[in-house]
Amino acid sequence: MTNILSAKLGRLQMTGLVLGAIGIIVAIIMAFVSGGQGFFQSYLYAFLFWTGLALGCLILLFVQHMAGGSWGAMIRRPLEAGAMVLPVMALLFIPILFGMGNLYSDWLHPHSELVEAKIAYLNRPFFIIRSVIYFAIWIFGAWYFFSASSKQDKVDSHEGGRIGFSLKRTATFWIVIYILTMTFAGVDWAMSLKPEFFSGMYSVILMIGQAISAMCLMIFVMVYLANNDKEIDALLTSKRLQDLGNFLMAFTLFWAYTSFSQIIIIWSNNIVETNPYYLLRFSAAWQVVGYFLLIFGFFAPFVILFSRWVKRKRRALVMVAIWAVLVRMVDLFYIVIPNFSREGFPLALSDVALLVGIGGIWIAAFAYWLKSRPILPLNDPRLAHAGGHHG
Amino acid sequence: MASISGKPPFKETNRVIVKSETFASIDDSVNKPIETAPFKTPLWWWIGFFMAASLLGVYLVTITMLITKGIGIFGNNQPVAWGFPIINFVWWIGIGHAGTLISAALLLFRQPWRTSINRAAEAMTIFAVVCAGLYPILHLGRPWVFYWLAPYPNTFGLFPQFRSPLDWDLFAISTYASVSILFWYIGLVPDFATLRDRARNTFMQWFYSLLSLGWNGSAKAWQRYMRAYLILAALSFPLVLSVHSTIAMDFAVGQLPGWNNTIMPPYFVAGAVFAGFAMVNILAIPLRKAFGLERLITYRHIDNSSKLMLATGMIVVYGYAVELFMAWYSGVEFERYMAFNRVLGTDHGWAFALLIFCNLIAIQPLWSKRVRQNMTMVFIISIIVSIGMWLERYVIVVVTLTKDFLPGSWGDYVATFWDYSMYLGSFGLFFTLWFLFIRLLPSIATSEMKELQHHDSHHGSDYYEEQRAEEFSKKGLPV
Repeated sequence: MTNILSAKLGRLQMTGLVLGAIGIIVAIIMAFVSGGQGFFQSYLYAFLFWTGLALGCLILLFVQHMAGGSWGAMIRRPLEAGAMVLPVMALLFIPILFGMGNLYSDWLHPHSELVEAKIAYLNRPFFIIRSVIYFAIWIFGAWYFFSASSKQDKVDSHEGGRIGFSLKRTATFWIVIYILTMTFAGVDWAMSLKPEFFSGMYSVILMIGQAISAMCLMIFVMVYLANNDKEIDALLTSKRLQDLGNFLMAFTLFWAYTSFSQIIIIWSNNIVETNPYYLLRFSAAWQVVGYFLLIFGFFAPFVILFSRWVKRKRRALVMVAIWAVLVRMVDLFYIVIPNFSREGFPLALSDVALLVGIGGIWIAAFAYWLKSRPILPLNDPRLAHAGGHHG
Repeated sequence: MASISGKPPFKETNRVIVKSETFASIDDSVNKPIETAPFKTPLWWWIGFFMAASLLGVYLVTITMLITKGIGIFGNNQPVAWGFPIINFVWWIGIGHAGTLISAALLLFRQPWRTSINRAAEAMTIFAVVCAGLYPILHLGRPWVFYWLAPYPNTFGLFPQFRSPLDWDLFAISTYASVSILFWYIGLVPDFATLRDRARNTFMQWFYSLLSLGWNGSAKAWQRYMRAYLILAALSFPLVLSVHSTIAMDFAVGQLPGWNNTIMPPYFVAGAVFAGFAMVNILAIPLRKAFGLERLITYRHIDNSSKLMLATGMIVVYGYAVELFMAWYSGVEFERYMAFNRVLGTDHGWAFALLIFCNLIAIQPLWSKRVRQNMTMVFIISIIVSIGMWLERYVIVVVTLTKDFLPGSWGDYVATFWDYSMYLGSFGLFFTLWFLFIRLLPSIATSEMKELQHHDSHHGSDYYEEQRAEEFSKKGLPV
């Protein structure tokens, strides 16, 4: 890595920390001013978004090991850095434990038989134990792939290839583990906010959202690095950029598919346990957000990403990726916030403050891990074939 | 089974293509079985074809019975109004999905190994769609008015109910069938031209030149061909998702516990691909032996297709787990009872136990490379998976319907002789078409294989070729 790039990442890390501090201070002041009600709601929302980004990096890391070509080797290091933010997110989970009484009171103090029937699963100790288990597993996974990758740098190219090949196989197991843990994490952290509601697709929608935001992050990072580093500039050909764009398009399509399936099934079923979820979201206050997601979250990016030109032009693809991340934020907002039945305009200042605050910390940790090692893995055979790099 | 290409037995390999293959040897090994004179057709082909055609006879007898007597000959009744016909319909259409995935999705993902099995898998898709598509039509009771399903202006003021997913099926399946046939045919055009040019008698020359649509092999023809092929691949890709999702909706939009799960669409798609790869293995393993195609369909292909079978199988199992967990988590009495009855019910619990054996336990050995490299094992596991996927539909359709909300309206289901004969007969239809296909058309896409051979000889098989070779030879597996 060049010194200039390293210095730039160092500055990014500082900026992240400053933003993080400002955001969190603003949110805490807001909490005192408004009586603290909204703080944990906003906190959970921001936490889910940024943890989702780290988990998206983790799952893409596994996926590119299992199936990826040179595009996968190219984005490996940023993915590893993103996954290594998970320990920080685990620390940032602690405030949620203090906010449980506020967030999850519907099942902590059940009012209906339906919810009482679930207390074997939805109770405070089991909730905490499960969350600890999820983080322990994810952090171990992130650390395992991160350290194997560091080791790959220190050996010769043949041994490096052997490590890569073994990671390729291990990744498959990890994908299974990620899907299982994330399914339950989704139920625990978000779906149980309204404990009567149940949907098998719910966590899948969260997972695909995570993958989209991580892919967008990779597009920014790669373009940013390519503008600052000649080697990556040569590697990030329009064809490889298009690979990333194709994934963004496929994930967007899959997100629309899963979301639409959930809507149409719950809407057609029209049963009392599940239909309030969409009755609320189709109500006058929220349906605008739904239309926004349909038109600008799905149709617009889908049509735009059909264009090969967009996927091959760095600036154009970055614009689409920025848009897609904003849509992710709106989508998660639409999933989480209506549960809290806020009065008046649903967007609170603390939502934005905490999104920025936790995001600042996230970016600082990400920049820290990214600059700790060479940006390109040294002995990944997939890059040796790519021709842009000779390690 | 004797090899009719007359090649000496060779050492199995894990490369995508044997290194010594040339353009000519690819053409020869694929086309020789087709060019053989009719009276020199190997005995195994005649035996297979005869057995398939006999089963086709059973099918025709059943259809005749059905049309003359009506659908009362089946076991469908209240409360199980959907029995074998819908189970078998879903089973057959699921099988087709692997073909579409291999030909379209793997093409877009640039997976070179798809090349030698895509043709056969696409053929399998089309034949499976034919078998599947006949079920809903025959099940209508008055199959001769099947076109009433289509929205067209008519004098009786009849219009389909668009809110019913059964009507979406019509569009999903007809789109699927037409795109699949187009894709398959476009891919075949250059190969037909090769056969035309190799023809040794006038009839064959006339036959294949008609099919090759005047292909002249010019750069312009190739350029247009490649473009059409890519567009069709992009069109087929969403079909992998849409067709089986629509079929999942047939169930999921109902209020019945056990059907109304929101995870149904993707989990049905995974199940379809799972069953499809099982069928790919069932067809490809004997095919490569019988026609001596081991140099083109190598262990690597069976290995990869087994891996995909394992992966999709695990998604299916995830679907089962989510279904059961959500049934419990819902806290709804009916949902919980459905889960209990499915797993531990006295009358149909066996089906679920067997299903878990077939779709979860039996596929676990596939994690091991040694098992994936053992053709007999893969073949047996694939057959078990096919049975398992049939049982899955049985559990979803029959077991769910027998006991719904009111105990007073519970009932049982018994399939009749004609239910079985129709299912057996549909195999006859499938395999008759299959045997005609492998005899008359190139079962491997020769033009694409030549492209692969060219690429492989310059760039090697894949990134980890060296590591794989080293590890495999250490374990005594073919390199």
